[in-house]
Amino acid sequence: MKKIKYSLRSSSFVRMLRTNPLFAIGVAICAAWLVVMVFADLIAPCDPLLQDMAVRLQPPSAQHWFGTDSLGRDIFSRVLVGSRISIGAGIQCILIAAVVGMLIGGLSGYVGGILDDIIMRIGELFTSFPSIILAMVIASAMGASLFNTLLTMCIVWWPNYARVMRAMVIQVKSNEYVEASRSLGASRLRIFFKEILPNSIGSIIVLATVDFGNAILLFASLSYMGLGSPPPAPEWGAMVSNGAEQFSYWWVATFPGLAILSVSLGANFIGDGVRDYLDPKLRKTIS
Amino acid sequence: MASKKQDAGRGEVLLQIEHLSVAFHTVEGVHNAVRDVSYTVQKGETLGVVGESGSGKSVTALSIMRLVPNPPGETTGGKILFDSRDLLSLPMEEINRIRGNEISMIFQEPMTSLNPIHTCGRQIMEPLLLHKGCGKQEARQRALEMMRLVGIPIPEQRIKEYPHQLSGGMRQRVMIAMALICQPKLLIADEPTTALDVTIQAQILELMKRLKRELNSSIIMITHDLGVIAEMCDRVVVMYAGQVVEISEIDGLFDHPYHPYTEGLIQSIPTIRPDRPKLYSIEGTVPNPFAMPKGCSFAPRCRYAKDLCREKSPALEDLGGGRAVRCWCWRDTGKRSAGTEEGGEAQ
Repeated sequence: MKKIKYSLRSSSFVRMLRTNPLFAIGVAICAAWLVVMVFADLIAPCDPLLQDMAVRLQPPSAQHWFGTDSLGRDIFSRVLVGSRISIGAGIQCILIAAVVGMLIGGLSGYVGGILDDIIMRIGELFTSFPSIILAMVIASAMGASLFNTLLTMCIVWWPNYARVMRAMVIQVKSNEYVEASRSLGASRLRIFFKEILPNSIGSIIVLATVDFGNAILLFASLSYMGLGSPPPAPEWGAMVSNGAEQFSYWWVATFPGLAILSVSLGANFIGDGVRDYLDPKLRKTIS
Repeated sequence: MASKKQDAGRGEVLLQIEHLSVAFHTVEGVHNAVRDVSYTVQKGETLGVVGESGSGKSVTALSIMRLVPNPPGETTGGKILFDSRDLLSLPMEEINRIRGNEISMIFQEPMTSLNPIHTCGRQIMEPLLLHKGCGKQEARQRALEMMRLVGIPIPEQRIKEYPHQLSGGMRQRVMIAMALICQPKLLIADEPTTALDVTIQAQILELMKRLKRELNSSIIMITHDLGVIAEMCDRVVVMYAGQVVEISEIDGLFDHPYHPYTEGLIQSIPTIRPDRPKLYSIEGTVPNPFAMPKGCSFAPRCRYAKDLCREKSPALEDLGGGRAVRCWCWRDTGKRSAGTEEGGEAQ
């Protein structure tokens, strides 16, 4: 039985790859980045921290594919190794914020009443500040560390997910099939997790994949201000802002920027594909 | 309630609604959707509940399942006894154990009553997993059996399909399979065929009749279609503006309706004779729930209404033989319209 189930799953995954080219591209990009994350040390031609003022701000060449930055570090190596920090931070932040926001928002929409009001007002409190400023305040209050920065980003971001989830739940819970499920004797918890959540999760997934790029950027901005990973560490956002200062040396900002772009693009494509997969009506069936 | 005693001979009482009142608190005021409703359901019988939209028939049924949304709905009085337990005072866990297991419900809209993201099989299996503690394999087997029983062709194929891949009739069969898989003692069907086209309607009604015999359940059939009542039911409860206005055996009702409203309903059944007369309709509309007439709620639309009717609300009068009617002048009903009927002892 297990085996059959597995082969069914994998075949629908393969079918999605075949019928949905964007999803395939997204998978390819993200898979490539995953490989890079794991084997960054082996692939990188140079030490990403090694400074060599003699070759500072070199344009891309055979030796330094992406050129070098203002301290003479090999940008190619820094982009590769930096994927660990940036993608890792992005994933963690989005995952935690999405799950927390989804549960809080779901609770808010499902239970309704005063609880709903309280939760939403708290959420609005957080969203009424620009996220970067709020993040700065919280991060500096808690002290600068990678963990604190991630926590900060989650605190800043959960209300977005909570709001979307709440709206979805309110819409979904009025459906007749929820009533039907109640009439079959399902408990409130079961109805929430089995009927309402799966029907609301699509928008959360799309939002999360769109936000993924933003998360990397927010993390980058915080790092830039010394609140994320400390300066010498190769971090895409910090590298972009570093490059933005050297306007005439286009390669310094371009390559880490392209890295951010490609990851968030890949995440977007996968998100769309997964959303389509979760909705049986959009799922392409070959009969 | 009146007809309880007479019914005792027919069979055991399964469900007994006593003086149920349900109110909805709205912006405009309190809407008494159900006012002092009492009726019984016996084991193995099909009870029809007819009435216009807003007559309280669905709210009564939802109360049995404790599905009336609260707020704004609130049960303001009465009892619902099911197997000697009062459903209205049971704790929620108990209710959840009864729902889908001992009492289940079929909804009106098969298009929206199934969850789009679960397969039909999963949804049919759900009550078994909830109530019977079956393993997945056993539940699957029983779901397949049930699908065969409700006449779904190639169940092995259908069990994997999603609701949007099925037609309306098939979905209603899936709903029925879900409702009946735990072999409930009572099935509440809230306008189960209203959303279906006529040929499918007949099939579904036939199916429900057959399943009722095979599983020995009782059915409460809520409908506004007297044709469905005539086809399916043993006894009928007629509701109007939140009250029971007539209770009768099926035969007596169509031959001699005692309440003017019932009479009007029967006369409004369209015929398909070529020389069909103009379709009869009851004058006026259901009274505004926030401005109920002082006397009988039907009086403003009633062609028999006398001064007494407009002054004082009649009680549900037990006429014996399982019949009860809420009307001051039920003895007059039928005489003015049929003209020929003189047998009834007037006064």
